[in-house]
Amino acid sequence: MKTEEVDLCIIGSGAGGAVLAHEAARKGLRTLVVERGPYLRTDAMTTSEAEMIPRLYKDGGMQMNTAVDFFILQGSCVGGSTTVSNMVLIRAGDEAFARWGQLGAELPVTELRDCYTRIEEALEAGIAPPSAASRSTQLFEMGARTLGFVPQPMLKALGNARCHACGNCNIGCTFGAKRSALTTFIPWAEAQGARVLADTTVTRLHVTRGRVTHAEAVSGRRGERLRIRARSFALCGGAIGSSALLLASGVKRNVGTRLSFNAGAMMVADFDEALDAYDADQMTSYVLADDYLIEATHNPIMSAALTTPGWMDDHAALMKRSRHLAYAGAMVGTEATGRVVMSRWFGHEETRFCATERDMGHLRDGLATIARIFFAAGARRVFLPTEELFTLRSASDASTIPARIRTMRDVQCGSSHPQGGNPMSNDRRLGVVDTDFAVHDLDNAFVCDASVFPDAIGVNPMNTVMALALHAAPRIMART
Amino acid sequence: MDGSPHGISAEAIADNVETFLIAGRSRRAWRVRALLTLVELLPVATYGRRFGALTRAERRAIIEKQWITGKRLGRVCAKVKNLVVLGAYGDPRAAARTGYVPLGKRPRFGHVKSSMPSVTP
Repeated sequence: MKTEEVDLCIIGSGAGGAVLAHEAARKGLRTLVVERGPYLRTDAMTTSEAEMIPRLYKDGGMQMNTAVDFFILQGSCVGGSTTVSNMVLIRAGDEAFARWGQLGAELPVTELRDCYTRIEEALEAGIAPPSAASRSTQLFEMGARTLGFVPQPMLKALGNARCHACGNCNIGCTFGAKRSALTTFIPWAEAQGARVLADTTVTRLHVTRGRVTHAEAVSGRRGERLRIRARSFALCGGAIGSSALLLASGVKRNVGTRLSFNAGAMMVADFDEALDAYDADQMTSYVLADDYLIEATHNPIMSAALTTPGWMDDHAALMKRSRHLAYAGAMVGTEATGRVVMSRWFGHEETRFCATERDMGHLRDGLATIARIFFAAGARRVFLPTEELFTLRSASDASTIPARIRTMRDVQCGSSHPQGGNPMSNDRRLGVVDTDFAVHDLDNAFVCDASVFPDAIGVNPMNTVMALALHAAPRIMART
Repeated sequence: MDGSPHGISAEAIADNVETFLIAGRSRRAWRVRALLTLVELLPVATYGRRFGALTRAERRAIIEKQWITGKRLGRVCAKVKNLVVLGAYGDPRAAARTGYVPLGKRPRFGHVKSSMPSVTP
């Protein structure tokens, strides 16, 4: 069995792992980044969804909760979810950090603001030019303003000068313009001496007397076994992956708990004019309300078809109108009622989650707002994200939504933003890690990804994960 | 089912789904195959025949009455729609018939180089 010896082993190369790797390598630590997915550089990417989704997403884009009624999309490649994200950089609100503080995760907000700023500068964050917005987004913004909402332009890291607003952010970036971890922190870390081991899955951490002695991994298609010895281990595999690894390693206290999501569902509107919204930046603005966030968005054709409601003739008829369709999603930070568990039968993790009545109420409100915005913008018809096709023909029809969508089972719902599972709290009874990101029961293991969120922040979490990683880096290195 | 109304045969859709699943390297691919088995075998209890051996009208009745508006197993079977949609619209022939123009054929991308170096700060 091959053995690697390093100072810091980082498991996962996404938003948290990449930033941490860069900081550690910069300080001279022998750093190894282990990534389950492939190292697919941008010049090897294509613009085919059917080719890229199975290669870039965890479980080929087919990850669902145990009840099979909630899609969970996560990147599984070098760069993690940042490789397939829209690179939206919204900061968590102060109220989120206040809630976390009440749960024993008091973080220095002023210092975090500085971390946010450093991340945004490193990623060359900017507002997309008006020409990048799709016609459907322009209509959405017009409708929102008509109703008194103030659409906010999105701060994104798309390398604006190089971005062609092609609309393919969710299947990578063939132009190499997107400032994902794949094109920024990972190569920067490599330039400082860090190594990336792709196509390698850490299956277990070996723990002896409260210390991780080594990690076991399997590498490549042939499953070659590998042993990794390190002074410290940082788990950065995301809300579900990091929880699963700790569980598989026998670390169980609070692990897998307080799992939450930014849960979303998509409304579809039919306009008279041809919008061709696919040929533009996927999302450029949002509307933030107290209980939900609305993002006007558009996908390439296969993903658009998957989010278009209706069956058979109904679905086909809508797809024939696809040039005229506009999409917008309501996103709700759910309560932290989910859980990651290990399947007793199949040996892999399972995700248990069911939206609460509070979550569903917020989602219904968000969907109703989208309907009203689309009608204010001139939509002829708006369609609910349900299995059975329900057509709204006027804004007043939005009042029927509560009768159509009662529980999560009634709606095509999912999330690209799982959070929690290894909640941060200095109270050992509540948390898995302390505010130094150290696992309570282990001397040399840390968690640095969205799994440490004590609850959902309700906005795109990438910026917060990166800022937290920047904040965590000196704390982790001080103990390595 | 009946295949895509956009001119893709059921066999082509099935092939596309199979290619997608193989490329995905999912540890949970068994779940998808279990779902397809469930879809195929569940009608035996009521129709005495597998789903694939039913008439078009019978299949449509199952989808409408047991999957779209049904509960429990029917709802689970309904997830097969995602596979069919994926197999159909992931195919460039079907995509083209919706009016979607793939990036490589959009006039404004004619001059664009396909790769660019990343920039280190």
